[in-house]
Formats: sequence, C-alpha cells, structure tokens
Amino acid sequence: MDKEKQKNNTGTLNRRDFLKALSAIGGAAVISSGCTPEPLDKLVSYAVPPDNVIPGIANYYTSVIPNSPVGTPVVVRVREGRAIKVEGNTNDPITSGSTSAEDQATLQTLYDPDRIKQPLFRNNRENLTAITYVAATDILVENIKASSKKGYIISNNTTGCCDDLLNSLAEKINAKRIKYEPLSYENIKYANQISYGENKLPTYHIEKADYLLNFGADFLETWLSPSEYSKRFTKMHAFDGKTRGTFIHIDPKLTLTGSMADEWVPISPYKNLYLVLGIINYIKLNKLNVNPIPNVFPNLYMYSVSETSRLTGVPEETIIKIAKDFASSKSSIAIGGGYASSASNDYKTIVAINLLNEITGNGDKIDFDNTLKLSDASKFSEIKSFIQDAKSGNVDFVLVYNCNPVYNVPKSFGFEEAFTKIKNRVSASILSDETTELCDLVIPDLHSFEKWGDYEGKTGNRYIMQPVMKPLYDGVSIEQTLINVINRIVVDDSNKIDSDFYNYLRNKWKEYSPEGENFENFWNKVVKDGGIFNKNESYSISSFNRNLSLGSDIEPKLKSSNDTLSLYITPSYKFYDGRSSNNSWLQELPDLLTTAVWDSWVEINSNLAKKLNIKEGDYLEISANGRKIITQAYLTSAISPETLSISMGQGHTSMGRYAKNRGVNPIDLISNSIDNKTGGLNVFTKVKIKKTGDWEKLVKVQHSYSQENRDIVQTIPMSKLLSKDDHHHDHHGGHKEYDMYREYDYYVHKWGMTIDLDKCTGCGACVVACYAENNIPVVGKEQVANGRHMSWLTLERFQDEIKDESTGITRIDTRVLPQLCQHCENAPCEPVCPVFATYHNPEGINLMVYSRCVGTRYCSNNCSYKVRRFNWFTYAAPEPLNLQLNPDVTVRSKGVMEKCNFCFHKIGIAKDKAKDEKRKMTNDEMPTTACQTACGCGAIEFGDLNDPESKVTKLSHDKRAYSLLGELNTRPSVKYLKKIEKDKAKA
Amino acid sequence: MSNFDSLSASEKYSHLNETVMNMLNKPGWGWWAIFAVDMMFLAFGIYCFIYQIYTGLGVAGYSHPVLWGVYITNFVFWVGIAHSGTLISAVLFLFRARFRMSIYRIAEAMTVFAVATAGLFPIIHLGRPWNFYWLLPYPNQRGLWVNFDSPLLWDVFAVSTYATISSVFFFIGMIPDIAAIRDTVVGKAKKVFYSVASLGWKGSSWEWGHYTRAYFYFACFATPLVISVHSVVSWDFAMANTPGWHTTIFPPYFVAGAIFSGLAMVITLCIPLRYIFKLEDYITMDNFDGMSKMIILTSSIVFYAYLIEFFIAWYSGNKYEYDQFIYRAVGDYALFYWIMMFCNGIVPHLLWFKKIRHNLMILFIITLLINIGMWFERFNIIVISLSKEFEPGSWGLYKPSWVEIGITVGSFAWFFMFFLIFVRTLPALSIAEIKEILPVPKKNGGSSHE
Repeated sequence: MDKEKQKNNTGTLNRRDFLKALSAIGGAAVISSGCTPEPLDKLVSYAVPPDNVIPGIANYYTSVIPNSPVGTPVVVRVREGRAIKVEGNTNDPITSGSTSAEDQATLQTLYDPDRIKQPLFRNNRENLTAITYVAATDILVENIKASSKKGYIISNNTTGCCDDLLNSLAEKINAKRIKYEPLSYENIKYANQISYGENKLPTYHIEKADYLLNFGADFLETWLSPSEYSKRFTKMHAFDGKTRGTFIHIDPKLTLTGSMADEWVPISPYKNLYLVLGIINYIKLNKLNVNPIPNVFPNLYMYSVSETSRLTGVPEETIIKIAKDFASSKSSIAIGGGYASSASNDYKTIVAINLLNEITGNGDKIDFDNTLKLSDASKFSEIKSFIQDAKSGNVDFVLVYNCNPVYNVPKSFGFEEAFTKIKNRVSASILSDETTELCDLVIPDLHSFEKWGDYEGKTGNRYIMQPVMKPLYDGVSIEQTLINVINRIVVDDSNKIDSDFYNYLRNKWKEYSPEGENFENFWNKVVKDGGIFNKNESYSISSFNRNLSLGSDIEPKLKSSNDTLSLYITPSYKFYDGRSSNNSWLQELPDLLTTAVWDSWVEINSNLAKKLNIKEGDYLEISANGRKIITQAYLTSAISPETLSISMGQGHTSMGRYAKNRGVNPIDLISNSIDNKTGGLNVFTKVKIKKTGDWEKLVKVQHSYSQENRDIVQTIPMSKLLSKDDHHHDHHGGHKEYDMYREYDYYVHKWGMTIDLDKCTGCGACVVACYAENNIPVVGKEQVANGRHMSWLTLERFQDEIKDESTGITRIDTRVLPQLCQHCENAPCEPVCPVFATYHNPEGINLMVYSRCVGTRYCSNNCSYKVRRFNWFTYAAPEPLNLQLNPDVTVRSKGVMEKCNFCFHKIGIAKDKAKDEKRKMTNDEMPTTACQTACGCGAIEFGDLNDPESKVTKLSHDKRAYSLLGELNTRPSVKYLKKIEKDKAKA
Repeated sequence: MSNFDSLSASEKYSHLNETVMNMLNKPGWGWWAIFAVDMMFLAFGIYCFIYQIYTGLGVAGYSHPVLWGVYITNFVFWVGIAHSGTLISAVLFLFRARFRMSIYRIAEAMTVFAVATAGLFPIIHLGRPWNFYWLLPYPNQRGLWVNFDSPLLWDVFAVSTYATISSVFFFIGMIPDIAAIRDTVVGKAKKVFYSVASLGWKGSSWEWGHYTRAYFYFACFATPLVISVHSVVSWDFAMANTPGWHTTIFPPYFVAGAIFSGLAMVITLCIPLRYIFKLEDYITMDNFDGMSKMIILTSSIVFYAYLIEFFIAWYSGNKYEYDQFIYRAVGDYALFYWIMMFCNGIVPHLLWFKKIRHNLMILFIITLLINIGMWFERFNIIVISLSKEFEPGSWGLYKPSWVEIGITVGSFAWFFMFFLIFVRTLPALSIAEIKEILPVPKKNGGSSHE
C-alpha cells in the first residue's frame, strides 16, 4: 500500500523531496555566501562525510593507555570523531578486556579543561606566553646547542619508540636519562637480584596457588600490574564449583586488597620480615619444608613463635596456623613488597619471602621470563644523584617528560631547589603540573588517543597506540617533536632519522613482523588487534641462590616496638602516584574503604583516637622530619594502632582545577634517606600527631557502615555450598502467593543481572565506566557533602566487627555491595509516580522518562534500595569535557530524577542490528552494560532471563543467588551471589 | 460583660451590627503596620521561590535519601489547619453545638486561607514546578495521562475538592451578613462590592427557607470531606513502603491530628482578634471552653496514636519498623521528637483544669505550643522516616536551608495576608447566626434575657 502510494507520488513533488530540495538550495546558499558571520560548522552537517563515519553509529579503534606503568590496551568507542568511551581490549591476555577506574577516566584527561593547548615559553618574563611548535623546536634546539655542562632527560618509564627517541636524543646531546617512577619497587628487584640473579619484577603466578600469603602488596590496587593480578587472583580465589583458594593478607592497614582476603592479619608496621622469619623458623623446627633450608639468615633461630609474636603483634596461634597451612597446602605462594612497606632493608623481607617460597617448593610460581617493563625504571638513587649534580651547578639542561618529580620526590631531598638552579628547563607534559610550572619551555604532548605510538608493558606484549581522533588543539606529539629536534642537531645527513614519526614507527615495527609476511598485512593486523600479544605464558623456573647469606649482623636487633606512630603511605588506586589527580570522575569516585571524596584524610585507629580524644573530621597536624601536613581524621578499627595512613595523590599545588589545593601530599613527610643496597627510597616515617582544634565534616558518600543485622550482603559457608541437599536456597525470594496483581508477560526478552559478591573487589572501575557511558554529572565536594552525588552505581561498603565467641578475637568483616537500580518486578517506585515518568517496560527494565518527570521525588522516597538520584541543579561540566558526552544518552537537566537503566541505549543498539537484518540476536550480540565490561573480575553478568541457556539465567538460579531485601517482595531483576565464607570448622 | 448583658434585646441586636461594622471601618495605622511587615515577609518568601526555580531545587536543604522535607511538612501542616474550619462550621452545625456560632466564620476563613496556603507547597516542592499542570488529567495531543495509582494524584483531587467546597460553604454562609453590610455601608465602591457579593439577598422568608436548607445540605456535603481530605493526605505516606509511614493507623491519626491543630489555630487567632476588636461579648469563655475540651479529646487520640505506633513497631516483629521508632526516640532528630511528644501529648492535658481553660494568656501559649508540636509531628514523620530506611548504606541526614525557611515564613505571611484583609472586608462574626442565639427583640422593647 505504502509503496503504491509512493509510486503514485513520484510524478509530483512530495513533502520529503521538497525538503530535500530546500535543504540543497539552503546549503548551496550558505556555501556560496562566504562572508556569513555564523560559524559554518555548526550549521551544516557533513557535506562530504569522512570515510567510515556514519552519523549515529559508533566506531571502535584500538589504542593503549600508557598511564599506569604497565599500560592498558583498550578499544575506544568513537562517535562522530570524538572518543566517548574506553573499553578493554579482549585480545590482550594480561588484562583480557578489563580496565581500571583510572583507565576509564582517561577520557577526562583527554578532554581536560586545563590541558596545555600550545607550547609556552618564559622569555625573561614572569609569565609563560604561547608560542608555535616551530618556535618551540627552535628554542629547544638552541637550548641544547648552548648547553655546555651536563644534561638530563627525566621521564617516566617510557617504552617503545618514545623510549628509543628519548634515548637517541640523550645520546646525541650527551645527556643522562632517568626513568623516574615513584613506584619502582627497587627492593623487589634487588632481592630478586640476590636470590635469583634477576634484577627484575617477575610475574607471580598466584593463579596456580591455592594458598596466597600476602605481605602488604596491594596487588588489586597499584602493586606491579593490578589489572593482571585481579585476573589471576580471581582465577585463584573464585569458587569453581568445588573449591577455591585461601588468601591471607598481612598488613598494618586493611586495604582494598586486604578486604578481599579470607583473613586479614594486622601486624605492627615494618615488621613483615620478622613474621616471615618466624614462619620459616617454625617450618624448619617442625620439618615442614620440602627443600632444604639454606642459611640465608644466620640468626633465624632467634625467631621463635613467641618472640615473633611479641615483635609483630600477631597472635602465636595465627603464626602457627599460617606456617602450617602454607607448608601443607598443595600449592602456596607468598608475595610482598608494597610501596608503603618499602623501608630501608625491606629487600630482606622479599628475600625471606623468596626463601619461604623456595623451601616449601613454591618457587616454581615465580616467572622471570615474563617480566614487567617497569623493571627498567631507574633507581631512586639516580634522582638523588641528579639532585646533587644540579645543586652543585653541573647541570644546565633538563628535559622532563611525563613525570612530576617536584610533586612526588620527598621535599626533604630539595628537588625543587636543585631543579630551579638549572639554566634550561624544558617540560613536555599534557597538564601544567608542579614540575612543568617551573620550566621555561613547555611543549605540550598529545594524549595517547590523539597520536601514534607504541607501548610495551610486559615482555612480549607490544601495543600499538593509535590515534582515535583528531588532536583537540592541533598539537604535535612529543615523538614528532623529538624527531624534529634530533634531525636539527645532527650534522651528518646519514644520521638523520625518518622525519615523520608514523614512518619511524612503522619501520620500527618491521622488526617485529614475522619473516615472509607482507608488512602491510602485518601492520593492518596489529593496528586492528591492538598489538602483538604473548599468549603463551611458558617460563623456565629460576633457581634460588642457595649460597646466599645476608650475614649475621642482619637486622633486626630484637627490640620491641616503641610507641611512636608510623606513617603508612598508600598509593592510590584512583590517582596512582598523583598523576591522575586532575580528574573529576576519579575525584568524585568514593574511596572504597572510607567512601571519602575530593580530599585527603588520615586513617587512625579508633581506639587510639579515643585515647587522644579525636573524632572523625578533626583536623590533625602530622609532623615528621621537620615538615607537617594538616588533614582530617577518619576513624577506623581496620588499622593497627601504631599506624597512621594517608593515601597518595592529593596535595597538588598546581596541575589543574580539580587537583589544585586539595588535600595533602604525604610524600612531603618522608625523610631524605635511601637504601644504599637497593637504591630505593626509604619511606619509613615516624610521625607525631596533634589536634589543631579545627573540625569540619569529612565529606563521605556513606555515613553508616554497619549492616544493622539486616543481612544486606549475605554470605554462605563453603560446606553448605558443597552439600548436596536441594533445600530451597533463596528463602528471601519472591512470595508469589502474596502478589495481588497479574504477573508481567515478557514476550521477547527479560533483562536481568547477577553480581557475584565473592568476586567483586570494589575497585570502582564499574562506577567510573557508568559515569562515562551514561553522562552522569560530577557534582563536586560541596554537593557530595549534601548527599547529592549522582552515581547510578555505588559501591556500598559495610564493616562490622564480629567477635568470635570461642577465641574472643574481634574480626573485621568487610563486605562490598555494588548497589544499582534493581529493576524490580514489583517496583515500589512505579505506582507512586503521578505522571508515569517511571514505568516498567516490556523487557523488564524499569525506565525513567526524563522529559515527563516533574520532580515529585516520591519514587526515590519509595525506593527500598535508594538508588535513584535527583538533579538538584543543572550540572554542566566545563568545556571541552562536554565533548565526551555520549550522544546516545540524554543529558539531564535540573528537576528530574535519574537512575540506572541497564544501559538501555546499548540494548537498543544491539537489538537494532539484528532487527535490521530480520533475525534474532546471536549470543555474541547480546548487549552488555558498561559496568559489566569494565569489571576485571567478571563479577557482573548481564543478559536475558528469558533464555534458559544464558549465563545470567543459570547464575540467578545458583545456590548462592539471593535478592536484596527479598522479604519486601519487590522481586528485583538483579540477583546477588553470596560471598563465600570459609568454614569455621576448617578455619 | 455585664454591660452587654444589661442591654435590651434590640440594643443587643444593634450592638452586634455596630461591632461588625466597626471592624470594616477604614483600618488604622496599626493594621497597616502589621500588613506592611507581613508583606515584607511574603516578598522574601516569593524571592526565595523565584531563586529556587531559577537555580534549582538544590538550594533547599535536601540530602539523599531525605527527598521530602519542610515543604511537604508545611503542606500537611496547612491542610491540617484547614480542617477545623469545616469541622466547626459543618459538623458542629449538624450537631447543633451552640459554641460554634460566634467563631465559625473565623474558622471557615482560616480554612479557606490555609487550603490556599497548603496548595502552594506541592507546587513549590516540585523539581520542575513550571510543569505542575501535568498532574492534572487534562486531554492533550501527546496522549499523556496521569497515574491514578499514585497517592499524589489522589491528593490533587482531595485538596482541590476541599478547596472548592470550603470556599463555597464559606461564601454561602456569609451572604445574609454581606447583605446586612451592604445596607449600612457608606461609599460607592463598597456599596457595589457588597451588593454584588450579596447576590441580591433581600432577607425574605422565602429566601431564608431556601438558604437554611442549602446551608444544611452543604454542611452534609462538607462533613465527609473533614474525614476524607486528611485521610487522603495520610495515604501519601501510608501507601508507601517506608518504615514509619506504612501503617494503617495513619488516616484516623492524621484526621485527629488535623482537627487538633486546627482547633488550636482557631484559638490562636481568636484570642488576639477578640482583644483587638473587643469581641468579648460574642466570643465568650464558653466558646474557648468548648474548643479546649475538643482539644483534650483530639490530643488524647493523637497521643494514643503516638504510643500505639511504638507498640506496633515492637509487636509486629518488623525489624525495620522497630529500628525506625527507636531511632525516632533516641536518634539524630530525637529533640524534635520529644518537642512533639511534649507539645502534643503532655501540654494539652493542662486543659483539664478549668482555671487554665479560662486563662486566655495560658490558653494562647498552649495553642501556640500545639501548633509548633503539630508542625514537628509532620516533620518527624517525613524526615525521620526517610533518613533511615531499609538499606543502611544509604542513610543520611537532612537540614533545612535558608530558602526553605524563607518560603515557610513566606507561607505564614501569605496566610496572614488573607486573614488581615478578611477581618477588614468581610464580616468576621456571623451576624445572622449570633442573632439566633440572642433573645429576639419584642415590639415593646422589653428584655427577654432569661
């Protein structure tokens, strides 16, 4: 009928044709009138669309985020030429498609309103003024030519072509290179050097173990390669239907990593070595060892169980139990060496850990064939010698690239003072951080999504850094600038390198191309895949140096701990060492364990605080080594009473609007001592605290940490899980007999989700992914203080102190709950809306119609889970952050309610394709939610509950599945899988 | 007093006429001063509202998860106040309670103005108040309809019905009196106004016959509204699943509370009015006595409800309910809870003593306290319940902001603005009905006081 109509209409001008003609005429008019004052780009859409761009359809490009020292290969979603979302690259065996919160938030660095837009130069004037790239190159070449003394190039741990070019420049100008990483684990490298002859950061195959003993390594947050270790950890610790591994975490502070442990053993700070020795000694005395025990520690005999207990504060029975379990488990592994514990001589702890692995026959899980590129980072001692050099006036040129030593070298070393003595200071950076501010020539770098490059995080895994969009500010990448400079300073034409970095990169990659394969094919493949991946993890076992002896003068002198407080500086899983601080998503992402945002705080043991009459929010002055910082107190029982803990990353005096003048930098308090053996920084800091008398509310997202016996986050003992009885597990399930109303019919799909509480680590990647996907506004500290954070997905954290009746020991029970809209079938929010702004769609999703909402907020009052968020204001991010907004999702304005909609737009996109091709969706095409794809542990599963074969259906009928607050009979579409508890009898 | 008593019946009649007419005289500087101050507060309230619309609802103190606060408190408070007017005029009319005669006009006026105030708050509290009309079921091109399942929609009907009926009832009751004023008033404009407002009332016995019957029917019609309006308002809460709201006791409890607060408000208004306009001869101690006794009754009902809520919270074995009530008594808002308990549960029982009932100063203070207590009752129900619901991870506290306080003050100014205009333009005492209880003058002028 329609077709006929159309046919009939062909003779005349129908409405559609008329409009077409009109727009053609209009467009021609606009183009021909060249002097029109209006910006044309806002009026006319693509006259000639670029290749591969169909408006409304997203493109995906592989690239890599080189931010964390291991790098994350990613696939970037690009809409109409703008990167809008980061997904992990599933080709990569290390991350296998997962991303961290920091990775997700890199888009905010790309569109950071404080990015340096042009090269800047300070020419005998106070202020930096903008110049061109050509001028900047000229000045840099002049600087280099004019310098007669020593030169330095300080960068982060660069790899690939960027590293080659920096090396090449250093060589040409005779400068010394320092690859400065604040977290470079010199102690681990040195310990491995003396125990295995490998000065490297190995791969610990914890997935092969069933007993993991961890001495303070925050491997789910920052330690070595967190994305990788969360995968390995999940493999080891997740329940596989029969059993799962045991994880013991030994740390003065309960960190995010520790919160995942089956048992957290609090220990006095910097006493790890004693405990390891105590365990080894116990194994030795009870002959539990597999391999003979070499005499590495001659005074091992001193560490009797009682002595160890006295020194470390760990109960005797715990030490014995750990020693026994470690030795008797089929496959155990001990790891350790976090930044916070890297005090002087801490390498001995690592040696002892290596020894412990060795004697129990577990050294086979340490892999020196697949090592981290981070192993190449310079020792901290090199920074110290740079400072001495610069102080004595021997240096007249320095180029700082992508690192911020003024901020994260402890003030006591006098880096800033030494640095400013250097005549020519050049910085290449994206943001104007503390170090860049002190430089006279600033050459902005491009974001990794705007330039070509490559990155190698781990041996054998090389990633291609592909530009996914045009540079925001028409900049030039640092690699290209380096080439330009090098070609200007080399006299001999034969020494000149390819003047175009893209060609340089391709030439370099010819090395990796398999012989006989066409390079173009190879290149296209690696660009498409994201790089070369080493999927084969085979390695040879390194042998422990059995002749190693650390001498009898070895520490410790057996003394009991004194009463002063130690500062425990934890790297931040959001800001790492402070490099990602100017990022509003990360600033607003609540810290998992405190839920504090936008600021620093100091964690203090609640008993100690009580003694000192300190309450939460009190400003404390923390002083050490003649310096002091003032920050607010956070009281917790999950920290040893001898320890104060402050997280890294805040306390910037520059860098941008989100980072500047916010919180404190605990690194400032560290003394200027380094470990002579390892060359690493000695972070051990004794501190004094004093109340300043000021108080302010500590801004947190969550205020009540107890479950109030409401069984919110449920657990199930392993024995019950293994028992065969088919007793109805979900006693909180829907009571159908009470329902007054007819059930919904879900004819095609019924979307549902399961969240495995046993797998969830609480890393926050899902939360940031949700911000990115759904255009969730950032509201700022003041509004969070009013309880108005907008996040659709919150990680609720509950910490109850549980007293064991039999032993009398109080245990801290930490549980995390990813809380999002439960998409209830009996949704309490739906009937109360007077205007039908929230309703149940035919596929089981509870939807919000933003344009219909008048803002009575009744739905939120009636929501049992409190997952709805109200737009109190119109929150607009400063330009160009708006370019990140996802065009598939409405940007909300003031006065309307919003909440999780199961990434409704992604479901639509997934369905449309199948619908267009008139077929059913295949399993591969099933939509995924943003939180699900970001999750590194595979805790979130989403899919069609109507499909009996789907994973989500199976999981939602699992023995562990339960509905949150099931007794309310809201019948959520989200099911949680209970956290697995170790059995009491076994424990 | 004795003065009035010694008057002859016809003198009493004319005394009443004069008293009412005097109230409608040109207002003195005192009235203007009060009115000016009132308008200042109102202007500030309007400023706050405009500021709130312009900036966003965030300028109010709302904090997740407490998304209703002072505005809804005010709404329920004013609807509650609106209750006693109809109760006194309609219900007591049907019961032939004589003590209502001299105060019912004031009470009715209060009702109409309180509803006019209450009606503002559901709009003020909206996130997008400019779209308030979307709550009305009007036919539109977009094919959008309202959700009749939502108690908020029931509110729309309940409150608008009540506003309509109480205004009509108020107006009908005034017709004979307006006619009386029309006959004596001087000045053209006034004459026109009262002529139109009296709808050509002549006072014939035919008119009176119809009038009294109509009045009776309206009273019958308005009576169920006394029960229904606040029951419906209570369903805003009782229909929700929130612990502390979800209870069947709410409708009777709210109705009793509404009458309780309304009576207190009538007394609060009558005492100064009686003093300023020297109405001692008409608003007598008997009136106050009667209303005080009703206050004791309603206070007892409310107090019983307070206690039974605790009992049910314990007896039901519902953990959430139980925790909620413990929290009310000892939690963050315990001060407000005990203010409510003291003002509504304890203070009114002083009225058992006749001496206190007859001491207007103390009575005035007691009724003020009751009004404060009843405001906090609504605040407690709304805010304390919302701040701690099922999920401990979401708990949070709420503190009103200056904007909310400004608008609240403005709403009182809005109410008093109407009331101040009312006492100067319309008969605050019902001439016709008071005459019913006065002895009828006889031709010979003799007194038939006994």
